[in-house]
Amino acid sequence: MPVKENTVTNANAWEPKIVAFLCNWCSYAGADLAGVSRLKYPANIRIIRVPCSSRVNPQFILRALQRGADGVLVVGCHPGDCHYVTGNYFTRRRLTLFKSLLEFVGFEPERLKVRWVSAAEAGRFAETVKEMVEEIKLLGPNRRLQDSML
Amino acid sequence: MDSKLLKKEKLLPLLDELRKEFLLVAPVEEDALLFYRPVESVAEIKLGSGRSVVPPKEWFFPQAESLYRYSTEGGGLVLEETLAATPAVLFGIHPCDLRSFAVLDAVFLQEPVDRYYTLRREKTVIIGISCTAVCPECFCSAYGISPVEGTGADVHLSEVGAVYMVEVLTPKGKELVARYQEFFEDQVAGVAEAKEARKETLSGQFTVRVTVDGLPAKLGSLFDHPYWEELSRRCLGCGICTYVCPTCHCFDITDVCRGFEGKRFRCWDACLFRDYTLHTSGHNPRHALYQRLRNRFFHKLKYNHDRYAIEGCVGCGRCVALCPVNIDIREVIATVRGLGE
Amino acid sequence: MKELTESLRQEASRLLREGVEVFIGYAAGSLQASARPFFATRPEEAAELVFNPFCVHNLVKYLVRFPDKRTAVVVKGCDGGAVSRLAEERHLDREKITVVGVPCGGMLERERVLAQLPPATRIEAVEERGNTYVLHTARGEYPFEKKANLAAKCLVCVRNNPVGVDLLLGKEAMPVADPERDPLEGVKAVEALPAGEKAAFWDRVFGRCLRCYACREVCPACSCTQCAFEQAVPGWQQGAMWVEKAKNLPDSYHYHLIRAFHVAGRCTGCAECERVCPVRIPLMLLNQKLAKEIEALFGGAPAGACGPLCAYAPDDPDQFA
Repeated sequence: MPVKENTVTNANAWEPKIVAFLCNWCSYAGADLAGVSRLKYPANIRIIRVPCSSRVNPQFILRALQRGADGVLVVGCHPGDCHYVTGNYFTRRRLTLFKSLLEFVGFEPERLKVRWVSAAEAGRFAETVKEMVEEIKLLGPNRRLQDSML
Repeated sequence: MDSKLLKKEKLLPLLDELRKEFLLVAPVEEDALLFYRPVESVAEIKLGSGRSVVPPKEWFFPQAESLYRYSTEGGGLVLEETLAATPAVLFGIHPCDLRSFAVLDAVFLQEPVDRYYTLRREKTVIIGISCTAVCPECFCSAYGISPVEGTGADVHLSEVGAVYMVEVLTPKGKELVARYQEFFEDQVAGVAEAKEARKETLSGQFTVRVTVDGLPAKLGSLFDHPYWEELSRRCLGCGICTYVCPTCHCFDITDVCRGFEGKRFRCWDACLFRDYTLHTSGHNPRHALYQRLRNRFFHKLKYNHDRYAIEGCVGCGRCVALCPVNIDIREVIATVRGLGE
Repeated sequence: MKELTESLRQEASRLLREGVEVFIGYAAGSLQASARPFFATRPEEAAELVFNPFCVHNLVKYLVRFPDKRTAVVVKGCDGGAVSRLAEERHLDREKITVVGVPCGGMLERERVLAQLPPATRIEAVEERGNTYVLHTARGEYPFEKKANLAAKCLVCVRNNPVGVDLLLGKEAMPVADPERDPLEGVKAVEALPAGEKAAFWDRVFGRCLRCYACREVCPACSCTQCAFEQAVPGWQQGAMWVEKAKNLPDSYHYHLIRAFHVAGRCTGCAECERVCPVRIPLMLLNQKLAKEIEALFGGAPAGACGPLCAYAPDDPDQFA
């Protein structure tokens, strides 16, 4: 589903859009628990469930930013706890490197956040989202990578 | 044809005046590369005799241009054409690129005319400029172009000593010169002769003599010659030669769709790319690189001539200079002319 | 350089007689101070082979075009790594390839040579005299001091003598690297910029990308049979395309970042991507940056088929905890 372009009518009305890729086994369950536990966190995230955080191709991140996301959150199991044993170890290498590349080309590194959240850590999930929304609000809308095709 | 003079020191003030009335597109330098770009101040303009990386065809036929937007919101269909062009002055075009406009005109102005190209073409006044040096890759003389010739420009400038000789070549050019007459002076004796002398000097500077006589007919018999396979061995299959060619005009039309809205645009395409002739079925009539490379040379050296009675190459030398593996069209021409059938 | 060219021709001729079907080397180019890739298939064609400081091309990528043939390829020190990389990834059958190594005293920056040589002067011979290349022409000798005239990548090169080759020609080359010069000075200069200036720099250089894909086509690490950026599906299925065919800045970023990322840890540093770019995008900055980070974070590339991003260590640095 396409993410519609942000329209800023006034500075206060702008709300960041964050695309969150959640691993099916830990983080998605963690988010679910946050909901069941009635924990409050900002409604700025759009969750996409992936089988493992290592499924997140860096191209997904760029595409999300191009199509209107202001930030991308990738959440996976804690290293060592991967359902597929080693998946998130690869995620860790890949996204650490990718983040440094984004920073190298002058992109705010805060727009890509990676966190490990287990199925039991509903509070940590809610905190992560809160923290990220705050950070992105400070940065303002992502204009730099956004497609101007429309 | 009218002839005028423009003192060298009056060129930038004239361009500055033009900039107030028109969108001024002129050569600018970026990281030691030349590009034709709209300028905001005449200080950005790079005067001199360099060759731009991307040819000025970009101005009439941009690498990517939007044709129309559409919206299907609420079940209806709304189309909004994005046809617009600002009156512009395209400054500093060299004789080879001036000829390239004639090659593009043959394609885009034939019926049915291409409205996007035509509109920009009509609204643009072209100021040509003679070359003051010949690059080692240049071979425009092969196509009967002289480095000081202004054919194709509305107004053409040739540097002669401390002045530019100004040739007013079209009604559009005449109008422009009349409107800014305070910048121009009357022709004086000796200037035209000096320009002719420059032509002689420059003509002697071409490093490679290229003859294209009988090439289209000759090529016709060489379609299946093993030479093309041999030549393609070092070809990378990239799009450099087509994207820097002032006469290449192939394009693709695609949609970008986001939900209920979208845009249809066209963009340059290159016959060296694998997907250029790829059919939806998966079949590719030019599946091998040699077929694609052969097509490029046949288009430049034969098809364009056969279809539009104008040569598809202008001898600007861009592809020669920029090909990373030294596929040199001058050498291809010479080899083809010498091949047995 | 004359002796080297001679022994190159002899060996090529011998190999072609002894069953090598394609010998990939260099021949003189059509332009002043240039060379071009050359494919000899018959022993007599070996006479066209040359080696001189204009043989800058990395010929290794051409090997993948001849999967069923017995081939031989000329490699410089900086090209050699690409053969083992492609063989490890099983794009090449190493058994079928004879790798002919040539010691290299550095490649001259063509532009600098042209700026100093009178136009249309034919270079008749090149002589290597210690730290200088001397170009012999009909108008006399032109010396080119290496330190001032070599290509940037050669000034920091420590791979002058190829390793892992089947045949090594000529005499051992003396290192030309300037120990004073930091190979990563370009990367560090960009890193030191404030974010806004970094953005402006990359906006400018990516903004002029033509999407000719020469950097991909020439790269020996770009060895996928189908590239993620190939427009293999018709436009109306554009959801399946990663970048639009029309040139635009966000997509140019997408292409270049992902291109660099796909070769991260696999790039062998031949700098061909940067050389072929018609609009001079400094692509090696991206490749070097990634190599630098990989070294710092994961301690360099481990032995293995597809490099450090296909491996992990449980105690890798973790900034995400």
